[in-house]
Amino acid sequence: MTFSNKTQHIDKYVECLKREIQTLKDHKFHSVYFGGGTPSFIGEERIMEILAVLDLSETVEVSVEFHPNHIGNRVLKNLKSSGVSRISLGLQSVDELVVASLGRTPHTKSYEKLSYEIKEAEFKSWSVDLILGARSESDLAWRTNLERFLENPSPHVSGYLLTVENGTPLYLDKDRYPIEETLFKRYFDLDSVLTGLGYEWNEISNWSIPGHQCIHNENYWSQGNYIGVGAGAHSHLDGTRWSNTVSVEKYISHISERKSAKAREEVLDMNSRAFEKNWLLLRKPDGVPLDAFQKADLLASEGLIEVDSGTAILTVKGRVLSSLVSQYLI
Amino acid sequence: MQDFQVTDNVGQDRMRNFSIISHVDHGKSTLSDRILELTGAVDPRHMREQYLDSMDIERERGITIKAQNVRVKWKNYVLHLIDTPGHVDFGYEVSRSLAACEGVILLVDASQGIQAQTLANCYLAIDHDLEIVVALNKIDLPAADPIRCASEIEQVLGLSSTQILSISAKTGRGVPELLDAVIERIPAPKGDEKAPLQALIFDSYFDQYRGVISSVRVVNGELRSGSKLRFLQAKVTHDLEEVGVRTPDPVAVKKLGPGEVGYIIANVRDVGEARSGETVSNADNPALAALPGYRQPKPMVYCGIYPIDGDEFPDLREALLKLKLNDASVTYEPETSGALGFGFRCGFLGLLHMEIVRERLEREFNLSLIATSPSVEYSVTLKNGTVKVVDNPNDLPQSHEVDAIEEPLLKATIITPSTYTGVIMELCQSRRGELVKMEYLSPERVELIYKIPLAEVVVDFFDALKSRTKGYASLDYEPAGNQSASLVKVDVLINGVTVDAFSTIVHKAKAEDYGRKMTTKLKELIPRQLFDVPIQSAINGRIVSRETVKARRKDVIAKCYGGDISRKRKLLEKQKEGKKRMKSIGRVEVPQEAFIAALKLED
Repeated sequence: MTFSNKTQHIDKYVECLKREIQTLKDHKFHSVYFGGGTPSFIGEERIMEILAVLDLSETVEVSVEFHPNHIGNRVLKNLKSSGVSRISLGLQSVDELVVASLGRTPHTKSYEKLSYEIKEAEFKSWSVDLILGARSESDLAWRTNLERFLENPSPHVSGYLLTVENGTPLYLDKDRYPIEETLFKRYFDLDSVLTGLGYEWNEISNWSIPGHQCIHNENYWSQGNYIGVGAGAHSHLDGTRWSNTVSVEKYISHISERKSAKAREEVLDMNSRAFEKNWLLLRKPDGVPLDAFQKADLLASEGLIEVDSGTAILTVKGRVLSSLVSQYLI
Repeated sequence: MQDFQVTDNVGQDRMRNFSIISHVDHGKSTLSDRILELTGAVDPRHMREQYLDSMDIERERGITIKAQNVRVKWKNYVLHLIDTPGHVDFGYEVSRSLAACEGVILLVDASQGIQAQTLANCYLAIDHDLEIVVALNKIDLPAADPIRCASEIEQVLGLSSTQILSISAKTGRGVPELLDAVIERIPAPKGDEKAPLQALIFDSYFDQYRGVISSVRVVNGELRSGSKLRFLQAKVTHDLEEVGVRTPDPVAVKKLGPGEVGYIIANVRDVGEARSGETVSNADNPALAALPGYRQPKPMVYCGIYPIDGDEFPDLREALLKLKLNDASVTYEPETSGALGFGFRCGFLGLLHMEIVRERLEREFNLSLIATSPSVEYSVTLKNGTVKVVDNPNDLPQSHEVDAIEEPLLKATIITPSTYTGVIMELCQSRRGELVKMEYLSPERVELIYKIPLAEVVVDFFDALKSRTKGYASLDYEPAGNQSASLVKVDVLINGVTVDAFSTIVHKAKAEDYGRKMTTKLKELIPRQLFDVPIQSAINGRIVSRETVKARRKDVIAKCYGGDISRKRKLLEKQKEGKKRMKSIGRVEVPQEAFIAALKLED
């Protein structure tokens, strides 16, 4: 989501968010998540405004994703007091050189300071996003950076293999493309180190100390229902998936006219729904029933799945090849 | 001058039968068009270019494939112009057309001079004892050099330069004089109308409403409408439903006498019963002998043809059946390939014929096809003394059982500006050619004659020759027997499994090179799998080259949250769909496109 940097504009947008939330009065939410770059952009005061219009009576988790440069004692205190229980820090790396090589804004605070402030604020849980496989990060630097992170670890870690997406600056720079072998190694490293420290893998890119799973995300992976508000937000209700217009201008004009901002909708047929369920489940330690696979023998003999009493679970190797494995799902 | 209709039988003395022969692009179709116009056969308002070429492919490629004939009036005479196919692949058909004539117009482009097919066609005419009227065409073009051409013709073909005419088929200049020369110099037919009927079929095609329509030339006797006909070679009898002449529109007549050329419709359902060279006689008073020169068409080049979409196999079978109605020279037999599924092993008269058939199958029957590399017919002598004919590399017996392999040879005639002699010799040598003769036609032009294995010509020889000589060299060839050669079969193995579609028979000296080329190519084309995939080539079971498609190490959707699910599910479903269309070679999954690309790439 992008919009021009005008306070007036943001005010309007937040007004609309609140208005859209009010149309959902009949719903009780188990968890709430403020994701992407928007929370950092609109600031904690507006987040508080939005939280105020939500019925949080049955809500067990409120997460907010924040960019390191927007974290501070006052911000954290305000969020905590308005009901936020979990902070997700979009760190990418403790190493500023790596951050810069990924084309991100340089951090104004060290990871040590950030983690100290978050811990001081005493949220129920918190998490850090790491990017794995940057070309600028040598094997040695990676080990050093990982150790530095683990001196002040978050109880929940998201580790994402660097992906080259069409339309990003990285896409145009072949020299910065990650090397497959490196990605593979980084993932193995992170998994074994975290597992050794008592973390459990929750999903392909997520690990946590028991009790620190992200409840909100777990719902996505079990094909649960959710409603997204705002421009470009996605929703799912019992097999119907839809999304709002990605244009902030259109979003504002639709909501202001008390119209729906829905731009796309898809009703999944039985087959797609079943495939989606298994594909999502396969990302988790729960695994999928063995009979949902074609050529399970091949996958097992190649060390991609482990079979445990009729359930197939991805091995570490299988996790980094999960798209390939998913193609064997019926 | 007495007035008469073009359809009237004016008697043999006032009849002339002739063909126009020339090298490709020397203006044969244009001259035919001018003759039709000049003789009033076609109203200029209804004239279109290449009037006698009826198939789209003929017009596009500028090549006549089917022989046509037309009957026109010129002054006090009836002329039958018999248009011959214009490519060496159809040499036999050309010879049958020439057998229906008493003479030819040898048309030579005045700027290009004698080319390979000029020679070949001229020799063919001489073999048939035909009178040759030479005409230099395109004399209005600035590059025309009629004096040089005439002296070349005199020197090379031994035809007197004083009798050579100069024309422009495009503008029509000189064409009336040419027709006068045809009448003066080409002898009249001398058939015996009292003798039992002998009529030569020189072309047949299938019409969905009327069955087979054949072009005929009556040699002796009379073809009468309503009579019972005996086809002497096919040994079948049919009722003659209609006999007629083409003016060029078909006009039914009561009978055709000796010397006349026209068409017959006799309730024949299969062109195989009315092949070029067939002799037609009367069933109740058959001629004792067939006319000489008949032979069964024999395929020279073979390849496997497969539908890209396996579901189209029945459609391909249907299409081949229909195509065969029109083109008896195509042969086909079902075959199965582990890589390509169900298809047909097809035989063709030559490379152009192969291309044309394939193009017609795709175009007229709306099929998407894949063809394996062309192969020739090998004669394999086994150690136990038996001889086996092999046209599919996969049928080649194991090397330890084989005593000797013989391959077909061609005598190739190449005429070229002398500056290209070096590059052509290099090319021919690299294709295992053996120089038989080299002769200067003039200080600037050379004729080269090579003995060269057909297998070396079928792949892309003609293209290589054209590109190395900027199109200035011309090529003609004819079969020249067999020779024994050190030939081996090269196999390509993917993950240890031989892929039949890539197996080829090549000369020992080139086998490793072919193998290496295929493994390198396939390395690029085969998607990475869950495991390392070796790609190997083997000669007689011995591995000679190897590449490895490395296993995938990473293929994961890293982030999968609320907004990602729909898009990523669709991506996976699409990949799953693509996986369905893949062929399994053992444990390896290979997209059909990889086979197509590997078979297409040359050099």
